[in-house]
Amino acid sequence: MSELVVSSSPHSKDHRTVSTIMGYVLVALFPATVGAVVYFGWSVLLIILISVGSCVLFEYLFNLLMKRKQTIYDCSAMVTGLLLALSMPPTVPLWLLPIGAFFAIVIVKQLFGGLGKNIFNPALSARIFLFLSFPRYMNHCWITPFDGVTVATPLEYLKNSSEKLVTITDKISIGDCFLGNTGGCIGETSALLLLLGGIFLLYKKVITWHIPVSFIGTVALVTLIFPRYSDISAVQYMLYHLCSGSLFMGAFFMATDYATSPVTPGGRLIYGAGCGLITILIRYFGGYLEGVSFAILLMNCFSVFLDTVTIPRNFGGERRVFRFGKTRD
Amino acid sequence: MKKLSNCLKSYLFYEQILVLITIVSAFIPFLNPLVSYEGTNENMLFSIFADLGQIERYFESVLSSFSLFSKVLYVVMLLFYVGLVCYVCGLILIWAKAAGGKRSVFTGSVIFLMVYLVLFIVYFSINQELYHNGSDLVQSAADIWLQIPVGIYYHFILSLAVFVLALLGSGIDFKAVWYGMRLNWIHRFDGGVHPTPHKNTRSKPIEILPPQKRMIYPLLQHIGAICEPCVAVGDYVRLGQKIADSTAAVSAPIHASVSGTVVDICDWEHPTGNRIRSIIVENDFEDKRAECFQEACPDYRSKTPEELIAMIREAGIVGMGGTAFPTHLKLTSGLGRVDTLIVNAAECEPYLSSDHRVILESIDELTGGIEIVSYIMNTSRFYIGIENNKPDAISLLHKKLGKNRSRVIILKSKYPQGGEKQLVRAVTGRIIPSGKMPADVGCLVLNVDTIIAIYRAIVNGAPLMRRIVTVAGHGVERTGNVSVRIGTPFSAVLNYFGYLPSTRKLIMGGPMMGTAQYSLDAPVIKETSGLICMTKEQLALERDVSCIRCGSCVSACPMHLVPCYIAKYVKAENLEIVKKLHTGSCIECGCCSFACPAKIPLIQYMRIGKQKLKENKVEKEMI
Repeated sequence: MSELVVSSSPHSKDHRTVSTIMGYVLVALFPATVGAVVYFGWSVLLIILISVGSCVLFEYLFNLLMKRKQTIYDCSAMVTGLLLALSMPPTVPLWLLPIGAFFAIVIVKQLFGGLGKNIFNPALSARIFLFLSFPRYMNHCWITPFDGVTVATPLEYLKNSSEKLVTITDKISIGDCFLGNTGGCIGETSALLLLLGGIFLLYKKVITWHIPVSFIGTVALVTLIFPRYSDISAVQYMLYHLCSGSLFMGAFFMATDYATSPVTPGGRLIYGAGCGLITILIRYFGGYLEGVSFAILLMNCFSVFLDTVTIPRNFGGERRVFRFGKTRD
Repeated sequence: MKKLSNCLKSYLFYEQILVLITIVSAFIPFLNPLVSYEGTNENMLFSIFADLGQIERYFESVLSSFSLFSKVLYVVMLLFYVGLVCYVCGLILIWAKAAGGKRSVFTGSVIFLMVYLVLFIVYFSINQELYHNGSDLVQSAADIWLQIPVGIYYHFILSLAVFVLALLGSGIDFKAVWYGMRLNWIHRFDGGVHPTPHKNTRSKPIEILPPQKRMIYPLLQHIGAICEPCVAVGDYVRLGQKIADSTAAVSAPIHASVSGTVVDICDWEHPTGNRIRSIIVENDFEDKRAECFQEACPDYRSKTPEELIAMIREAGIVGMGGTAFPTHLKLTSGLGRVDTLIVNAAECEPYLSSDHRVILESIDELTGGIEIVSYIMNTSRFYIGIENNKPDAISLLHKKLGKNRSRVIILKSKYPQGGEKQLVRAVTGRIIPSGKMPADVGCLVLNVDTIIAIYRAIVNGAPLMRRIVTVAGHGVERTGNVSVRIGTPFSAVLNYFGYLPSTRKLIMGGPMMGTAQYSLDAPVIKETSGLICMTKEQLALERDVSCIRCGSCVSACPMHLVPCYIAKYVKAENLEIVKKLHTGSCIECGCCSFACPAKIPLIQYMRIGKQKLKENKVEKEMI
């Protein structure tokens, strides 16, 4: 009889673990990965392998050196590596990837305490780090899919509209933007494939609808109401903004990163709207072409604060009068 | 007047009005984009064949001159709509077939409707592309609408009308459709989880376990004060005789479920994990009935509600759903305040099927019991909240209730659907303020088995002596439901089903809220709804990693709390914030622990937090 285990309820738990969730994210990124290989050739596969491999390796070595419990089996390093690779330009030199992986895994994630304790999204910070440190390799080498001709991204056309009198519709159609037949980062050109992955994540309940909807919705609303391009209709202008840059990647995969986003529904809505607003402000008035990465990193700082101000009203409770910290009375 | 004000208070009323407005506005031309068109296109007027020719020409031009994207989009769109047509037709066919309606008219109208809808959308999107490419055919934004042939509009509306007529004439069970809609959109609560049901025992009839030689009656089988024995060692007790009672307010008496001699009154293993004073009776297997059985009272209307409640107290009835709160107190506190009786037949815990079997096998006693409780509470309004995974019980209830079948509220299978607050919200839409009881919003929630016990106590005069127990899990050779006399040791029940030594965990109750047992000597008490034997493979996963802030616990919590933050502040012992995060309103359902992918025992932190808050409050009061 002494063999009976006594523990507190609940006695059955959901089969979903952290590694299952990370596995789902990898599956959701699969279409974009395949699309990247189709568009930019086999060299992309090498980029992805080096990035994922070095991320896992750094995590393994860090845990080994710090004598921590090995955490590479939760697959989160693989997700970081894949996201990092997919946000690189196709012409990125291969030696840059381990540097980015080191920054992502060791500095941004592990030094803060590992999975769940990092303040900033590892893949995104590594991207920004490389972008600011190696602009020569990261910013001026966009090529077209299939034939590899140097080309400007849709965002450059949208940005330069007032100076150069060139209509974006002559260069790139919305359909090409949507399918990914334009210049851009490896895995971010195709909004369609990312959308497929995002829908998979929503279906599997890995992410909730709040962040993607409020993020993309804010960008859509602002560009629809305040278009800065008189040659095309507001709807077309909005669609160009939605389908270009890393908006879908950011909204479905980067901004929804668990550790760095709020947990309450209200907080998620505000967080997504903030991401969208900063994105569009940088795209309109900023010195950079793309604002998604900066927007998400900026909003990462606010995620815990947003949680504290949007604690939901408890079921049957009074109206919410909650503040963290000392009360004034 | 009161009825009207009640109606205005319920959210159901407004939802119905909103649905009505939406439907009506579709028939006002001003609000409906489909009928606001006023142009003409004489070539194609009213001619289906002309339409088809036109489509062909459209498509030829589209396929030769449009971009790759447009072509892909059209093909995808057409495939999507073909799929949709098949899907919707199939669905409607199933409905119509089940109802035996006029199928051909109906299907035809649906197909026409869908075809014209597809044509309409194809024309519209082609026109839009033409407009943006600067074609001669579509010069202004209005032309996008005007260049759609009038025939499309005409036939579309015509087929819509036919569709509506066919829909009305098809004999579809609109009520069933309405039930389905209510299930998902109205009779719901936010949060909750979906554990695997494992309800394999629901098809197994209730067996009867023969009484055992030695019966154990713990003096605490309910929430509240412990009872005092009214018999001494060596006394002869009879079947149904009261053997323990208490003068405390929150308490319920305990009765012998066999006849025999009291051999000992000592501390004994109790299912809650303590050792509690118990009366041990040696059975003589003669089942001599006690003279002090209450007198049966089939004509209950001749008595006052207070007398009936006293009878219920004497019968020792407590809530049989698992909380074991004395029922007479619930009834007394609700007298004059309750306008709605809610019968809890949700049984949301995995594995358990005892309530389900009881509905199927004792339906007459259930309906009789509902009448008695309605008489006591002086209300005629009752609802039966039942999860949709018990179709046989639902149809039996429908048949039995006849005209009153709308009293059966079908709920979605979701844990914790049977929680009092969640059930009241799902069934009536009323929200119990935190810290209040269902009676404060005019509701009385009683479990199915409790109602049957009330019926037996009043109509047959029998005290509460038996309990239906579900035995399930991989640790027993066969599973099933069994009617057990209260006081039977667990070992007897489990051996009846072939207890295997590979059992690693024995749970009294369901796996979500039940208590793990350390000994098989503990007896079946009034709240033992099930005995689940789990083997090593079924044990819950151990703690994995630290919190990844995924928010699963926040979306799972039926009380809308934030367990991940509460756990953090409990660990930090910051009681001020723990209190502000409404930890006190936690119902300990275990959804947060269940949903957590990092397998953090969140519910334990919540319990610690609640306990500390309680201690803190007591300390403050002492000072």
